[in-house]
Amino acid sequence: MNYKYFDNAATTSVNKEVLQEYINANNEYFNPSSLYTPSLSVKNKIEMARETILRYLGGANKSTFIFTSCATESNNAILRNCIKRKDKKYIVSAGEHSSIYATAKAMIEEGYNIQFAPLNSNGSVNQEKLFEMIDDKTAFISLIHVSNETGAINNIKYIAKKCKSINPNVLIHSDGVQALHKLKLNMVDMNVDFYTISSHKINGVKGIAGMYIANPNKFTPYIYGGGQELNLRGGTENYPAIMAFSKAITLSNYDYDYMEELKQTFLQNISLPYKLISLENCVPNIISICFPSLRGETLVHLLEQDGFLIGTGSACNSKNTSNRVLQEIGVEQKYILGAIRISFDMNKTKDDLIELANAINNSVIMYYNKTGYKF
Amino acid sequence: MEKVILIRFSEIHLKGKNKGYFLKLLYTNIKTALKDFKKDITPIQNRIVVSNYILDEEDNIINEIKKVFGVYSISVAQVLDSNENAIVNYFKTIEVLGSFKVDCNRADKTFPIHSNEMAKRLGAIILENNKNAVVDVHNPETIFHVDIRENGQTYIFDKIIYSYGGMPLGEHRDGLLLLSGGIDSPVAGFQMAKRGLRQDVLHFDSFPYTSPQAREKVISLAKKIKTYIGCKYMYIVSMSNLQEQFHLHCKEEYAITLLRRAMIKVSNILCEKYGYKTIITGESLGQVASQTIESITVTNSVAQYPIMRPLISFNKDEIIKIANEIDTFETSILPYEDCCTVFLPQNPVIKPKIVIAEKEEQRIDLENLINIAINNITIIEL
Repeated sequence: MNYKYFDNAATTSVNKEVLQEYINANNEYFNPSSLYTPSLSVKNKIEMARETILRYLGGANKSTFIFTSCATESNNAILRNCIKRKDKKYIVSAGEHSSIYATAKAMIEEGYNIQFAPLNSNGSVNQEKLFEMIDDKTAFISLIHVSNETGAINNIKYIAKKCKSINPNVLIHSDGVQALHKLKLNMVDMNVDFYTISSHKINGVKGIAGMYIANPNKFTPYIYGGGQELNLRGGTENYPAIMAFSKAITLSNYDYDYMEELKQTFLQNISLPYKLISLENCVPNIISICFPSLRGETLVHLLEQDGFLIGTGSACNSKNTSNRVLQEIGVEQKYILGAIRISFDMNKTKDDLIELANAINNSVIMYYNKTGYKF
Repeated sequence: MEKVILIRFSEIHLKGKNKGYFLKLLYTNIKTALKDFKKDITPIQNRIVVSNYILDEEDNIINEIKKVFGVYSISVAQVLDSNENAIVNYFKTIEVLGSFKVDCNRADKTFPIHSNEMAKRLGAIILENNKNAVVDVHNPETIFHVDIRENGQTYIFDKIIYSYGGMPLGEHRDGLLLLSGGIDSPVAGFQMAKRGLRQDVLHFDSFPYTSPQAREKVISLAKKIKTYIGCKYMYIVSMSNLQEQFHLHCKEEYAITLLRRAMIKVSNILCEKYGYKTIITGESLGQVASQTIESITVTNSVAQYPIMRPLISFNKDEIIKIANEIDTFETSILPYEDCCTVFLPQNPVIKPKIVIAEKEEQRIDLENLINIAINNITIIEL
């Protein structure tokens, strides 16, 4: 079946140029650490890719970008690197991606003092409460740049500045996986110490991601081996994926206004009562929307039968009936269960969004009829 | 001198004239369980002997034998010709520290020395050769078993690994196990297989109210218990239409009662069509509203085949213990919705009545809906 894909926040299709780059690079199969000339050429190209990405991110002097296998690896490595002392205080937002949230939870179990900063109704961090939490013991703060659940934007530039004015020693990390290509990024301007991005969310290949590190001298190696990636992460470099990543990062065509138009078109065409979580200050390509007394998961399956693939952040099941982020926001349970996530890219048209809205209308009405729900 | 694996069986020796049939079944099942290993399998009187295997595979072979029902216990033994000198010479080589006893079983009545006498002689040899060894007949650290068999061979071993016992799995798949995806039903299948009942499995799903992952989970559970219950086919019947109709037209508190009756009706049809003789469920008395004596009565009343409920007296922790042992627990607790929880009523009836259930069923075209469900059955070869 030829599906219409509306789950770009989960992953994206691979851009043809990027794929070609990947295929071509596979012909240069030489180990970058070997001593002969072809290897040197591969090594140089990796460094050029690193430069391209650093330039795109607006990295600071002496900063670096370390290639990793996925954003989860980057986030784990950064937390493990920055949370090392039991007499210090650490803060992560309650709306973090599970790769931060679960690591933080595990480290709390290990005895570290990690606190969760509460959220606003759109899923962004509550800045006032965050600033109140910071004191002279706070050493590290991690905030998602754009929420993978709701699309809510955290104003990292403002927050980082304010946090560092309260405690100049605090290190700031932002998980920018959903922000890449959607927001203008400048690491110096944002004043972050670490930033995570991933290739497969921007039409790149899977298996490659990375982390921006403002001051690599203070970063401890976390995979020991052959000294690759500035001695911080050993392991033979994934050269084809790195080349594809650096290609993908340059191919941004995101038009904020156009995406906003698509979002509004979608919402205008939903003819049933709903609760919109992605309200103001959200990237327009992610829409978190809930229908009462419905199961998001069932809606996903009904739409799949009609050829539409959408997401549900909600892990609704008999044992865990809640979506962590929506629960933190304070969304009522009857809406949380019926949460779906629509996410799309520039390839979609208004007609696509109208078609999706109609399919959702039909499926939801069918669901309500079959289950006898009155609204 | 050769190392062999000696297999003893449980109640087959009580089977009188049918003993030969059950022995053959057990032999075949052991052969099937060990089909991937190099070995010889030889039946001797009241034992089965596995020999000529690769020593590195010994633990794996034992693990597979343990899963064969009807096997009571297993020992790794040294095998010798049954003559006194050979046995005595072997005992001279044994090193013993601490307390021990020798236990002799003279199945071969032509062997000239009686059991007790033989045990005494061998014990004396150990004492002669091991300064730190002491005899303790009541609570020894090591027991040397000397099993003198009718085939002229003597098997000597000091460890007995106990297995599940029970009866060998039958040739025919006579049972239809209702496999839900929860913790209980795989264990129910295991328990019945222990009594020799070979089974296929039936799963009810509710797509799109449940996910394809939930279905995959049950398929992987069925594959996990295949070794034990000998299943070949898995039937998947969708109950979505039925659940919708119950939900729309029938008393809410009866939703689960009606669903479970419909499941049994579907099972009746499959039993008749494919020749199953019994239905197996994982019910445990009083565990949930649908498992009270009244609920079971109302469900049971539509059954045309006997329903076996091996877990009826089991506590949850007892069930979990077995689920862990047969490696189904971790899969069972994967968090996917199963069919029963979708249209779950707020207050399910705890003491349903047959007359009310029958009246509620008349509100919908039950027979037709069941036929549609059966016509859309998915059959998977496991």
